[in-house]
Amino acid sequence: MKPKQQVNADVVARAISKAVENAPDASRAALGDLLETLARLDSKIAVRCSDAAAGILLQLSPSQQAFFLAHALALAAQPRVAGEFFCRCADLLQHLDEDAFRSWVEKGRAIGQENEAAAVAFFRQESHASISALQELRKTVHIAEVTRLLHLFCTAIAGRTVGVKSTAEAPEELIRKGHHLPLTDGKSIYLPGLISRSASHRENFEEYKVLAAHQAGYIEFGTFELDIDALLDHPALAAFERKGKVVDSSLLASHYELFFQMFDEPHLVRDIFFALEDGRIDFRLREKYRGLAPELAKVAASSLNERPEPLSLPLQEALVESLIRLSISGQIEEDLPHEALPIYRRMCGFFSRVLRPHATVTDSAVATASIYSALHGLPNISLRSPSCPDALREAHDTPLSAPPADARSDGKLSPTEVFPYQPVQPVAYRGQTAPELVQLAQSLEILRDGITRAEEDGIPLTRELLEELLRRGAKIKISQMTAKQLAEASGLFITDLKGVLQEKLKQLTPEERRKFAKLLEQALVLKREDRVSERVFYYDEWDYLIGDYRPRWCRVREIPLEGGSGEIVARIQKEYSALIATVRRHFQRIRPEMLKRVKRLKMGEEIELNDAVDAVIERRAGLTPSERIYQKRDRRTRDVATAFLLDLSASTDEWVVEQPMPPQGHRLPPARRSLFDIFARGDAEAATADSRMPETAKRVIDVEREALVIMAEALESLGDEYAIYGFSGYGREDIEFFPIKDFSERYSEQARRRIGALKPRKSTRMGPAIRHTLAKLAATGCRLKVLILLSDGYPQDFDYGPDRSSRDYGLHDTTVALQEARRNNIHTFCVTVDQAGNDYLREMCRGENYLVVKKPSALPRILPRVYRGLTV
Amino acid sequence: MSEREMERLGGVERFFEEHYFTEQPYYLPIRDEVEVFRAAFSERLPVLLKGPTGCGKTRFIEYMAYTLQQERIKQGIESPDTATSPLITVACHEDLSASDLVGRYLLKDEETVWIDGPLTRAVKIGAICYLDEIVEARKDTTVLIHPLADYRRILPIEKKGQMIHAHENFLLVISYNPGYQSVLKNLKHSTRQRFVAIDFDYPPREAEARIIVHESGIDMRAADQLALLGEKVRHLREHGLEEGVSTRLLIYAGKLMVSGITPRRACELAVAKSITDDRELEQVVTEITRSIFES
Repeated sequence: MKPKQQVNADVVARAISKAVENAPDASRAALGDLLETLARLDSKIAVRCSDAAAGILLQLSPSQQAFFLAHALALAAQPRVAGEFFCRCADLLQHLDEDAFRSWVEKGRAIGQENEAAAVAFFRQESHASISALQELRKTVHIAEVTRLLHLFCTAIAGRTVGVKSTAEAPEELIRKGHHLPLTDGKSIYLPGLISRSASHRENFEEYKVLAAHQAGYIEFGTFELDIDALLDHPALAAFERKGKVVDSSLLASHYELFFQMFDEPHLVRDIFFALEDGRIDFRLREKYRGLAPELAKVAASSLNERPEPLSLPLQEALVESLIRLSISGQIEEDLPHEALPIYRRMCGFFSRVLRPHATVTDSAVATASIYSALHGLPNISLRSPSCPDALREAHDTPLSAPPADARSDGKLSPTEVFPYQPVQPVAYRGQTAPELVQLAQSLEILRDGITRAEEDGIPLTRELLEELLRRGAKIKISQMTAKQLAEASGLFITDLKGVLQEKLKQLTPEERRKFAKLLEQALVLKREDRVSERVFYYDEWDYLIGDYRPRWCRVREIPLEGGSGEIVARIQKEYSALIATVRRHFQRIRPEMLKRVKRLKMGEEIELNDAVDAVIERRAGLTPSERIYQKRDRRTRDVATAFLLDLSASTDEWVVEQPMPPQGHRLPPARRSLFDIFARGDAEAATADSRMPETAKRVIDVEREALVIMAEALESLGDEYAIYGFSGYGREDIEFFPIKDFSERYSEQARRRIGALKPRKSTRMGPAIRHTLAKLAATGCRLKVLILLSDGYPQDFDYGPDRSSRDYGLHDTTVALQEARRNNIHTFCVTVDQAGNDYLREMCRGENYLVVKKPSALPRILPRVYRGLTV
Repeated sequence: MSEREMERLGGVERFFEEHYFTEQPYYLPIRDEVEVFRAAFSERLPVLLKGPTGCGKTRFIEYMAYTLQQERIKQGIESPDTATSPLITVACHEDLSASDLVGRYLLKDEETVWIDGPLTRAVKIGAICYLDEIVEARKDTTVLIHPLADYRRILPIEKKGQMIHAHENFLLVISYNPGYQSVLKNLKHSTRQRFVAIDFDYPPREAEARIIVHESGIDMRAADQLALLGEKVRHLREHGLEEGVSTRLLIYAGKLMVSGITPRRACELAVAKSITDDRELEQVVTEITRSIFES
């Protein structure tokens, strides 16, 4: 190991004394001990720890501080390990109890005795051993570990694709009451980042399940399908309509907004509605998912503890709170003032109507109106106020069907006694979903889909055009347009749609226009995000220094290649037409022999009945029978899937060396150009542009491209399944993976264009690209799976291992990735044009599974032979 | 032992897969498939049954074969004493050759004897010949059925130099699961365009629950929960599960429950573990099971 640069002793001493000074009194001595010990061994780490100390100790309680420092001191013999532990592991004490923490640290220490680097990774929580040990000990459940599970769970329950994300990723507009509350936008369910309330991992997971199921329940049980038209005819709502409220004045209003607008007190009606609707959802969940019911009951019961006592609230709020408590626990509140009980009982009666197996969101809305009528007229006065009983008695005498009298206006109560209605505290496990926004987004999507469909029919009203129209405030009108009309509109052709829009989108104020444009954008962003999230993949990486995997270390992004032209491929087809014809002929010969069953053999697996009978007949007839009566099962029909993985690193920009020397004045690029050369000059493309060569000269990438085109032509005639991918990237977070032709895809004009669009890019991090390709191969389900890697050098990336200049890390990771392939029964073969390839490929590919092409220009001829050799 | 009793115990040697029914097979019509099949049969149009595994294709054809034969007996067209098997099924596989279907010469004592294959036999006795999972058979074998599957209704027997006109009650029925076949294994158009296609899918929840009750003997409440599980798991069809859980598996789960296995365990065994090898998907199915069943 290189000698560490040591820090000036004064600087160290100052840093330590400052850290000790800032530390809490009780921990000063222990911290001082630790830092002094570290300083003796590695002053740099001592300084780093000193600087971080204040922040670290702050998150711990005094007893935790002592515990934590003691552990750090115990590790101090290996200063790098202790440093990582000290700087990174304090927050684990929030999630682990001390015993669990101790046994986890012990594990790390044991690893450290064998391999210091592994222990460093362990305490950085970057090694597989570390994370799996944590998972066993921990009670906290993080959203990341259950995302896929809950995504599939919710998708199954809701009956359509539902994503699961952390509330931290939720669009800001949807977060109304804090990041800890779950919500859904109708497409994704957002859940809190972690749950650690219960004592065990399983129980905390169950809580996640309950939260997710409640949100999925909105989708499954039709919360977002509220239809205002169905409500307006209902007698319970007639009273509100008669009041002459303009129900349909809003721009692009959802049914929910129209519904809530019918009532004077928006908070009151919302609180009532959600108490009822959430109660209905819970009821339906309990009925349908009996196994979930106990967990739901548990989460519900614990949520009751966090709620205010109804008696501590003013009258209206107390009654609403009682209703919410009823909807959570099913228990009827008995503590309310005697006079309030009749109203409360009536509310209970209305509530019971939504607790029916077939109750819908309409029932909730109707019951909401009834309860609102009962509550709205009440004064929101303290329950302890002397005038409370009178007010209640009076309210009780008023028949429900009559328009509610406003008790506050008749002057019996002094205004100081009446509190304005305060919205209730949300129920944590039910979350903060805003159905009006979900409905709106859904309507917009329908509108957008309608436009897209119209586009497909060749009518050029583009999305951009529509947005442009909205921005300019063209004569587009949207008011009075309900979701239903939008839905109807979407079925029309664009000309009609325009008509509908023109009729409906009217009098947009600038503010409304902005709102609409924003919503439209949001709907589009949601769609885009869905797409993006599907195309990012995480893979582990093997770190030979620690002898363990680093989990989820590399992020692979699948990026569609665009902008190429089919001409390049056409040119190659022309140039190599003779070779293509030959290869095709060769390949066609493979095919028939594969299909035949081998019969008439002298020996084989079984007797061929027809031949055997013939032989017996011949013998009877006095002829010499043929001995060839056996048959052998040949290999079945070809069941081969092959992936060609193409190295698109910057070095593929190099000229193929055997070509005649380039024209004078042109400098051949260095053997492997440093990445920074390229970035310094802009990007790989710029690098390509100024190193132009005469037409006959070819770069590595051109040769690779030619080989691919010939392979593709040949494989089309053979009918084997194959795919072509390219990869490059820069850093572990950004590995670029370019699907050129997927397995299910045809060798279409588009695929050909993508081959044309191939160009040198950045680094060569092979491991994750191989792993991603393996995943794709495994998904084909073919019997024989082959991965052919075409490259021009050793794996390399700026953070492929701690030491940039060392190849070892990358080689080890790639070797392990190839081993993974073998373990999964996937054959791999590396073809390289790097003449030094023998050195490392021998280790990397084990034995015969590689080929160094002496003359790169021969690659197009060699590749089909390689393919035949591997698959026949 | 009576023949009926022997039939029940199984293990009786029969020609190919001839089906003799002692009672009406249970089948719950979901849509208009019974009427469609009846119409196709009355016009002697070959039928293609499309649908995922375990959704009731085979049971449907058994039910139809039996029902149609019983009607003929009632009408006096067939006599109950001489009635032959109304249904012959062939499970197709990759090595199924033309002789396996049509027949071959075998040696018997000192001479060769022609033995009819299942298809020939069906053509002769006027049974419904059901070629299950037809795409599994090789394409050159499949071509053999072409002259039987159009207006000609003939079966050429090359080896004997003969041609048989199909019996009036003969009908060719094939089945095909479009779900899991790879691109390579698709039905040739010249084949598929000779058939009237009836689509099958897993039954809706209520109907599936009734089927589970009948087939497994479990009570309605548990059957309803099993059907709910089926419905939910099938939502995952495009999320890594190639096929949803089949009605057949739900019935198995029901049978395990009848024999005293707890519902959660029964579903884990018969559903979660059978439909996928992906650990996470298995866990998802287990979580759904846990949500539906209390124990």
